[in-house]
Amino acid sequence: MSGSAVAEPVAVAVVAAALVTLAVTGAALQAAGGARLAGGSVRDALWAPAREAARLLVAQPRAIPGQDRVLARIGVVTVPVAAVLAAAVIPVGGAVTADLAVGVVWFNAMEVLVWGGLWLAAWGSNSAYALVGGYRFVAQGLAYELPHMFALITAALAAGSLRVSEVAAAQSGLWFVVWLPVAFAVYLLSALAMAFWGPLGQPVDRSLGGGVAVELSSVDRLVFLAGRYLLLAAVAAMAVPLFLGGGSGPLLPDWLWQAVKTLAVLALLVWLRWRLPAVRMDRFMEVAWLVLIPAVLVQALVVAVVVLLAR
Amino acid sequence: MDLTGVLLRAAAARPRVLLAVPPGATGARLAVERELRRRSWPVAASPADADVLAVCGAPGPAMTAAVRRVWGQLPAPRAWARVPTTSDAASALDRAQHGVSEGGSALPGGDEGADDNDSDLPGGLGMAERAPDRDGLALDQLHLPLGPVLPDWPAGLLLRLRVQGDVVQHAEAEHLDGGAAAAAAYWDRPWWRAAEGAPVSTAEAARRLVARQLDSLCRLLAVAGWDGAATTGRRLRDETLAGAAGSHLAPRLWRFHRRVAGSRLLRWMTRGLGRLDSAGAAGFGFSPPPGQADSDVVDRTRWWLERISLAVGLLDDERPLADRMDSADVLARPPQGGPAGTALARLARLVEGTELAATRLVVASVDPDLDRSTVDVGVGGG
Repeated sequence: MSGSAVAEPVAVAVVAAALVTLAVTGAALQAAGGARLAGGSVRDALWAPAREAARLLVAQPRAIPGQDRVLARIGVVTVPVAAVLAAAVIPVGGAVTADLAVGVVWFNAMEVLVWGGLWLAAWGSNSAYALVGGYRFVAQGLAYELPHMFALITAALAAGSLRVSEVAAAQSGLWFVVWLPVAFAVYLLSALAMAFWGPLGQPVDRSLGGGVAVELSSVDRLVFLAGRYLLLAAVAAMAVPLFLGGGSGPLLPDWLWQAVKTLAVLALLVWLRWRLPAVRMDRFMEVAWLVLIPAVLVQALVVAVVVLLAR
Repeated sequence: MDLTGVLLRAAAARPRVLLAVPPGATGARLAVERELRRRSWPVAASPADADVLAVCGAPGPAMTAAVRRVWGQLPAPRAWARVPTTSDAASALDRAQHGVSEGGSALPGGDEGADDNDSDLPGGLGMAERAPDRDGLALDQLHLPLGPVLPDWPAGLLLRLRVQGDVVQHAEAEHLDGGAAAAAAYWDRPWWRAAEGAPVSTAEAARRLVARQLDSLCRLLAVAGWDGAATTGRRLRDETLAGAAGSHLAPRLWRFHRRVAGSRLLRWMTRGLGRLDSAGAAGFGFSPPPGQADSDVVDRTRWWLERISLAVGLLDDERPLADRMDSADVLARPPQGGPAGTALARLARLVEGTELAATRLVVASVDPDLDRSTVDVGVGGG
């Protein structure tokens, strides 16, 4: 199901541009939040992503002895590639790059690429701090992946389809966030974990010198950090068709509503980064397996019963 | 149009600064942090990410060697800022910014040469040897030193760790350049001056106390990953030291206190870490409430917050400090630190068996002020 062959490159360009804009907006919001807390100029902080990119472009690439640079580079490049591939199924306005019949599962599969990417970058850096950051990300993955999968499946179950545009269309009456609140909360939590952002940013923890990113400099670092913001943008954008009704809403056109909702989710995720301390997996793993999974399964049961009764 | 030049100028607009803080340099460090916050320059977490290396105070021989190694890891464009005293911060940072915009000194190309050593191991380095771990397996053992140039790390502390996975198997703590004459601890100066007869007001001592607790607390919050609270706290610390009106500071300090004390996530993450008995806690300058034998990270955080709340009302009090010096209240004379050796050995025992995140939290919760310790580490008792 796609438009004519002529419309497709336009769709790809629109979605790519939207994703990159969203990623840059996320970075700017993060810098602005920090500036407001530190008492600095917020308007000046909005240029921080551009300045940081410029700084990393002219920085000298450097390596410590024993680094496996090819491996680390493969790992680093996987992060933005996974983000872009995951965003391929997200409808933007009417355009969607690849409206797969199994879009929800594709999204999940693409973000699992990041696990491999981050581990390769950690191992290839030949630094104890990077390795510890890699361990933390794998542990985080063990904790969040199952609840995340169940939350996605619950939304697909409520819509009766794995195609993302149909999940969005099924919410024209009532948004899923209203009667699937547990699944939405778990999705947001796993969005943080997936992008190793904010409270779940222990893999790139400052107290470890930057964790996985400790020995990355110059273009490697730019690609890694850009990939992280692209991941954040992709998960924020995916929340809208899955739980927040896609483009539905009164008065304004679809694409504008979608933009507003996506920005709202992104702003929430950026706010959480400043608002909460980090969550460590040695304390959180129990909660993830003993509380989150049963909660999401109960939510799925409720949804299944409702769907059966409505038939 | 010179694109590289344009990018260099953009990069030099807000260079990232890595702080190297030797013992006895607290005043200089506070001045640098205040300047960085004022200019909105970010603080780097690792040498790979830094443009400017700011060396505060006067580093001794061990610290200088560490700083040289770190300098060798900064990528170009890079610059060096020496800040020996408080008043040098602004000019040193300006010079460093100019140095970065000029393109800075590049690393020698020698880090590629390390690969063609005779050994066939990567980089010519040895492989990690194995040792038994706590579960009876034989795991690789890494020798990881924490400090002295590490973000949010106590000045002058070097913690040599043997790590398996991310669990610390063995730790040794060292006070770098500790044999030199102990500098007058920055945080205790109002009390020392009052003891010598200089006219010191309660307000000055209260401000320094509040700033000290905020400083330690913000280091703990930064290590715990709570950047929002750490940034707010550091801003309050700078404003308290700069002399902002108490009526303006008090409501914000109370809001900060409520937010940090009420954070259940923080309590959950730090509960049970770093248990010290009362003797151990007293050795680090804590006085746990009577009836409570052990203190963990949560208790010590609460203790800091309580001291801030007790001193908030005194921020504008102009009465002389000498009236309060010997009483049992929050502005009593701070205890003379014991010999650094005992405290450091206790710290090393405390972090063994914990994983790295817990190690950093425990060290941050104790926040040893090594400037306050007596001289002669490891020689004689005390």
